[in-house]
Amino acid sequence: MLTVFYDGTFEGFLTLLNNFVLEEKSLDGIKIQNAKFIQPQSELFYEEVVTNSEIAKNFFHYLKKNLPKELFEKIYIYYLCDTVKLEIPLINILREIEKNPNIWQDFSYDEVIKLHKAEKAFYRERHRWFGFLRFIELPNRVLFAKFEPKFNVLPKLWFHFVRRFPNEKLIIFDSLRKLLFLYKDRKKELIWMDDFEIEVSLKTDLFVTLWRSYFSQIAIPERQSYERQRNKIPLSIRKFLPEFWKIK
Amino acid sequence: MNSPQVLEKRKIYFYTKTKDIFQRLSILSVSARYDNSCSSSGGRRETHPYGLGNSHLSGICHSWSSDGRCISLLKILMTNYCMNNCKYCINRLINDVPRAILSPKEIADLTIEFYRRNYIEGLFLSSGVYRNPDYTMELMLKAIKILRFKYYFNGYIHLKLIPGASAELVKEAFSLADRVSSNLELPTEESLKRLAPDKTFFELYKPLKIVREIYNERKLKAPASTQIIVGATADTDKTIIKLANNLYRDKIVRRVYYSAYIPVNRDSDLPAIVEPPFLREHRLYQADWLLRFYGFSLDEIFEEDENLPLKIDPKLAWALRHLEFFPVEITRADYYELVRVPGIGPTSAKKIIKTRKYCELSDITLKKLGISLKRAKYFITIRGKPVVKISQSQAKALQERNLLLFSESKC
Repeated sequence: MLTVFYDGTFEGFLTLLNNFVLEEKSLDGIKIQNAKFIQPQSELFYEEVVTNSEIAKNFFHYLKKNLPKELFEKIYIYYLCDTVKLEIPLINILREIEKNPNIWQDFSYDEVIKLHKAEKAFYRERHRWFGFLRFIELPNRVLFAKFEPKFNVLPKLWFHFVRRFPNEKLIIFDSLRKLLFLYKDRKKELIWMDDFEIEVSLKTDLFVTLWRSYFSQIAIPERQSYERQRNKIPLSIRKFLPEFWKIK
Repeated sequence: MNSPQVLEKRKIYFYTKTKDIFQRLSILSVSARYDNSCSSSGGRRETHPYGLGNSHLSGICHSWSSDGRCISLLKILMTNYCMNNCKYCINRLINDVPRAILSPKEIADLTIEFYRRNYIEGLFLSSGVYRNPDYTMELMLKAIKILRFKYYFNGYIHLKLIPGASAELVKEAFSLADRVSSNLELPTEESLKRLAPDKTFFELYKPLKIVREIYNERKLKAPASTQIIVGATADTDKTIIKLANNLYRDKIVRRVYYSAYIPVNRDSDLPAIVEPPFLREHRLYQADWLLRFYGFSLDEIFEEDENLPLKIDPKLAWALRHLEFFPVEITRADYYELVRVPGIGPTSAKKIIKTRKYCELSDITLKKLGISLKRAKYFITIRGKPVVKISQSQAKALQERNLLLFSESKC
């Protein structure tokens, strides 16, 4: 089996789609991987898609022209659902759409259901991080947040915080994908950054202690249900929430 | 008989402003936790250019406490000192509990700092009645004014209206907050007389009525809510739901919260219970939902009994009483027919209606859509065919049972 790698950028994603949709490369025996998560060298037989801005741009215009507006707007979301491997279902739908323009709404196709479910899960994940993202105030009044979302939600998440805190200095870091968002003086930047680390502790911000105290008091003892709490806040994300930090 | 917690009034000690903020926050959050409201939805404020904060229409949950309830707002009392003596309340005057007060500025600062760190969506401010209702309401309004006009904070604010406060203060509170509330506490005047002798139904209802009168959007329910305690008196579920139904009908509130009675005091007028009636509270929420989103009427929910069945939910209970309504053919049924099927809610009903436009429905398609047929399968048909498939052994068992029943009836 041949594994095709793309570099995990949106341009790389569009170049990949172009190769399989317009150039009609065969999908038989093909596995597609995002190089952000798995290194190509780890596979025995692999091929790398060379990201080409020009091809990506042209394909983007092709999609804009040929797809229904609603579906076109979802393409970026499908790219951001990077952990559920939507590339092959999407290629299959894009190949079929000329013959059957309504295919993307027909839930009898497994591919359509997979795309639909992923899109819903993406917005659910984003909404979750609207609430779960925790800022810690650094000494220079910069608010710093680190998180590891299931999908690449940061490009669709920062807007919420910039709108909410227009006069603050913000740093939001997706440590799984090494994607960094910076906001200062109403200027914003989204960059891939491999080596970025800020050490934080309880002493960094005194309000963390106050919040932890509030959190422990607000629960009604007679209603205690750790099971319900665990259903809502999975253990995997608790390391990003100061109220769950274990203090020695 | 007096509670062991009870001390004379002169012995009540009062935490002053000098008390450490950690302790005061702790005391006031413990006192506020019995208020069930946690919603931050429905706000429509945009961020002020010089300030911070906006509201998200659908609301955002920021954490879940160990009792499984969502934490969306900084839920806190201004003070837990209270001149009332409600028998069910932890903060009643005669209780010997630590008392504390936060200044308006402290509340505003705490809200801003928690909000900046994305711990909360806004503030839920309530209070015991300190000195008199107007004085308490003014203190609370001072905190809100600091937030709105000094810090230009446009996040969500839920403000408790103090019963007995003047109409002017209620109007001001309504203009500054996203949602206001006044707890009706108990469903009838007699129950109030017994457990909250300082309160009358009229006094508790009045702030909600003022809000309804000044709310311009006549077609919509006023952005207010209320809370009713369940299980502290002998009032039936029908009495409680009837009150809620009237409040919804008159567009007085958007939401009624039901709170299972948790014994925090000892008093001869309070029921002795082993466990708080959490299941009953849950069934009341289900009945409330049936009224608001499923098109059920009060009489349909309470056809036979004044109380809801605890073993099964009220929709299933209705379905079992009305087997003539079933099976529902899901390829043709309209929205209100679909939502009457046990196991199919508004989301699944909308999915079914949307999907059947584009493709043929089958049990496999429904499963793929994430619609659970676990309960619904007994009440629906798909193109005239039942979804429940009976195996040979099951069919034989059914036949034997019928034979047995038949022979019994013959005898």
